Amino acid sequence: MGIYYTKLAFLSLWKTRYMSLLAIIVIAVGIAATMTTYTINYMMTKDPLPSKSDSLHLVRLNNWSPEVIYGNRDEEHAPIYMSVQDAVNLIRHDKAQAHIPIAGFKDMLKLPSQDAIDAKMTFVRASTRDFFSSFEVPFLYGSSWPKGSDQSGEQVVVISKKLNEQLFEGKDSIGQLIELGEHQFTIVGVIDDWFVLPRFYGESTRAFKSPRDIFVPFQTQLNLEFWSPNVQAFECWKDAENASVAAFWASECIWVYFWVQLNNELEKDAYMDFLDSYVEQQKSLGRFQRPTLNELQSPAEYLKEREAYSSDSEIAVWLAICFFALCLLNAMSIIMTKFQSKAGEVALRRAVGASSVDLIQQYMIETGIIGLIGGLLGLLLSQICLFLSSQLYTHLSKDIMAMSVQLMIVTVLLSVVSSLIFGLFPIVKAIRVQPATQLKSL
Amino acid sequence: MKDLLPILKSLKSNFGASSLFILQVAITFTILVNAVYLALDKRESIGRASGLDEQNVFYIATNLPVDEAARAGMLDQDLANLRALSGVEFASVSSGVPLSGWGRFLEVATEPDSRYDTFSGYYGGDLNLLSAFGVQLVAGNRFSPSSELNVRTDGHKDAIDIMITKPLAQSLYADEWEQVVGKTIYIDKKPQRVVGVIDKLQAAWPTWVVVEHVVLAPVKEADAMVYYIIRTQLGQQSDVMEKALAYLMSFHGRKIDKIETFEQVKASAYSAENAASNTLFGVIGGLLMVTALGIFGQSRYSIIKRTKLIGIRRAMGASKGQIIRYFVLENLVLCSIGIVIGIIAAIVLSNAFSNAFSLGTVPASYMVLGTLSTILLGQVAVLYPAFKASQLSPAIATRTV
Amino acid sequence: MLRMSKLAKTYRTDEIKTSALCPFDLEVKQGEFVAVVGPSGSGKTTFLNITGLLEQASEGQYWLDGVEVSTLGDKDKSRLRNEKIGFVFQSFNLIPELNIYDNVEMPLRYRKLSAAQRKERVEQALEQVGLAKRQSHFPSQLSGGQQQRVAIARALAGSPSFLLADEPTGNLDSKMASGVMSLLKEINQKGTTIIMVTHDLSQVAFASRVIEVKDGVINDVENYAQEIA
Repeated sequence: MGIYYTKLAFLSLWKTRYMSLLAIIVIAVGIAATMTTYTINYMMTKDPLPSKSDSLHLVRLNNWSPEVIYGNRDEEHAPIYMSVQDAVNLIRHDKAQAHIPIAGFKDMLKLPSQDAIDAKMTFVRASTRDFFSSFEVPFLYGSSWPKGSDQSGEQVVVISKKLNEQLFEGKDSIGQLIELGEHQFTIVGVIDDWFVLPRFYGESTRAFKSPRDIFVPFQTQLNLEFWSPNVQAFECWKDAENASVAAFWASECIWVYFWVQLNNELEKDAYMDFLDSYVEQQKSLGRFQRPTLNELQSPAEYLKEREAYSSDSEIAVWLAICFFALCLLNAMSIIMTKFQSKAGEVALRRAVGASSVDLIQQYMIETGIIGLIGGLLGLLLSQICLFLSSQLYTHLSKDIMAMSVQLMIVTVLLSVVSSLIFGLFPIVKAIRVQPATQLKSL
Repeated sequence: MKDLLPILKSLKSNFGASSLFILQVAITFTILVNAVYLALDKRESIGRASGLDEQNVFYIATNLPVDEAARAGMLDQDLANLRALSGVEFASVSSGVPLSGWGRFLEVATEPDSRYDTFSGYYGGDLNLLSAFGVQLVAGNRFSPSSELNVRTDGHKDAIDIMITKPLAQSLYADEWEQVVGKTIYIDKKPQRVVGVIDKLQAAWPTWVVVEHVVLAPVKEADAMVYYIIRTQLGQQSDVMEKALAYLMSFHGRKIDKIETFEQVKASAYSAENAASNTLFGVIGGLLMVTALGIFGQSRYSIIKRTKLIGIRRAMGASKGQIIRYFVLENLVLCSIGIVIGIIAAIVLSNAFSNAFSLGTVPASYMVLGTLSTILLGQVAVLYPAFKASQLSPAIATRTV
Repeated sequence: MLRMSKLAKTYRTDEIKTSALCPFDLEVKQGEFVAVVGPSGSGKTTFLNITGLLEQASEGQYWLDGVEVSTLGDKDKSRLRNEKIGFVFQSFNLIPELNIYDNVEMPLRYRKLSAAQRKERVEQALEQVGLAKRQSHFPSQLSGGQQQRVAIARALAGSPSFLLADEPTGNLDSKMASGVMSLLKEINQKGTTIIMVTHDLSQVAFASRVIEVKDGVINDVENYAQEIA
């Protein structure tokens, strides 16, 4: 029966082709609007690392002036970042599965063979090798640097696929040298395409930008005194001893985000205990004179607290859904017009013994096909819209404007299902004709 | 108006199709009003004046590639040479660039011991900074040459004389804002004297609530990184940018961190708002198109369905004008019902948005304009089908359809 | 095979009750060729619609092959129409976008038959009306007479208990009409019961029995042609 109905449906679609086309276009436009906005919103608010969302934690220590509450808030809350000395201490105590400081700087990058004039100002991320394993960064060539590099601060780098293409035309560049500022670094790894959205681990205001293109050990940044005051926000409640970078490293200025990986509640509890004892010990040295408010925060909690999510994308989804409803109502009235001309056929089929269920099935296949074609066209349109958005939304990473296979399937299903539902009323209206009244005048 | 009764009757007998039409108008109205409000809201923040001579200002972020002790000297040398370039009106050093997303903020208080009254952005530079930005003084005086200070960093801590923006003055002293001139206020708990009030200048963060609050101080910072603000004569900008770069790059170890015109700064500062408002305008365009199509299609449908009826009316002496009037009036009635529902829905949606996303609610004037444009849209879309209906021959009445 | 007892039809609007058919009893036996005659507006079509299960009688009982049908639901009625009744309409009512084969096959689609079984029946039916070679043509490519033959083949394909024909020659010229009438006669002689509404006296002669409907009253007429004369 299905094949027969499908054949009938195509015949009927062809007979009323302009109307069918109009319905398909209207549905496609609605689908495209909804799925484009939904994709953007979904990509912006999704869990960036589902396998690690329970085990990664931002460490927050209440290091601030004894006189005022941090941020002048009513309710006291530990800062989101910490001082260099605390980050170094926590790594040295080695009480978590993984320690991931998030620091960085920018400097002029070039190949040793290039002239100084060709050097490009480049943002550099400084962290530890745990960054790559805990954040599940895939490697194209080589691997992260060894543990020894983290401890001694070796001049090694991991670069992105994009940078590798720019500098080495995509070839395996392991062992090659690059220059950052005055210093030479050896490439030990090239990472593959890595989509981490939202980019939860650093400043929340940059959560929707792509990751940086170059990574060095945190200790290396400290050793070589790489410091750019306008890369990462920093706050100081007490001035550094003097103007030198070394003094800044030793100061109470806070700016290093510090993530740890703790695989279960037990480890988490143990780490909290450790943090308490660490702060107690530091208090005895005269530091941390505010109440102890240690905190381990999950990526989702952190992003939410920092209001990283823009409400614009969510508003757009709601508007698009309203718009889609409008398109469906519109398609519904077009389908109704289409089926108006079917009164005669309905009557005839009823006369030769088709039950109303038979006819509902037959016409639902027709509306289903409209939905299917509309969905496929809508999918195509939404890809175009996403491409246009990636051109328009220059402040967001292009990775946001990508639809997963699941979303593509959802797109088509949504179109078919909603067309079936909204097509039902015109169908029921069409087959409600009295067969007897139609046959005579046909 | 004698058509009104038959219209209402046919509305009742045609309940399905009519309610579909009404629902479409209602939804269109709801989206239209909210989307236009949101889009214009975004546009408004983009359109706010920064206080700068926007088209003639550019900046260069660069280092001072000498020992710390020699930096102040190099800064003065750079400024003198930049000023000497032809096409340059003013060149100055600043601790930051408006709307660039990177800057310092201060706590401002009128009393020494109070916590803080408000926040403010901060720029420190030489005496020329006011002119280099192109901002207007509205009260008090310019900085006296003797008040200029040289520091390495954190100039706001050393400032003695300051200027503030009018919005900041108003937030501190309301209507008596002009009296702030000569008063001492407390910046990060340090007493500083206000010598003048400038009309308008924006802080570094475009979405900040107090983006119009700025404190300006004659304190030059000769840090690792400096910002040169250069205001050029009209039309000379790209020329001057090239020459300035050539000059700066003549020093060994010079790093150009960034060189951008203020228009570029502003465009990237508002890229999110810009993109959002463009998307919203896209949605509005699509919305109007789909709705117009829908009204057009449905009017055609209802007219085809009533072909015979129209023929009979024509045969019985209705003029073409009367037929057109009938359908136009019917459209008006349906649209009006849709709009009434739409107004309620728009208020509900707007309140939901303002609760969920802390936005303002749509003002009544939007409802009025929305009503007018929806009715206009409906009338335009119905005109052609109504005209076609009036062209039907009265002879149809005698045929069996 | 078809028995009606005290069957009647009244139409009801808000205030007025109109009687379309007065209560009547009727029995049609296997193999009869019944002509239903009467002036327009007399209730012929109502009678045909009730007989064809397209309309519900207001009162009385109706047995079709021993099954009481007046209380059946939509699904059962549809099945009965499909299996027991073949319709032939004045305006043929072929579906223009389907070819001849598909048009004839249509009623069989609502039965559980294999493709081969359907093919056999369609071909047999088309053979019977002499259009076996026109299977892949579309209705618009045929003459009116041929179209009506297709409609008859469609009615026959389901091997119904009886054919219901509503002015089957009303839209045809006299030459084509006589062709269609002899086809119907032939079908009747092979054993299919036919009930035909007509106002054409020349066709009454083909019938073995004549029923007259007048102002909603149904009567058997013994010798109709003579009576008219």
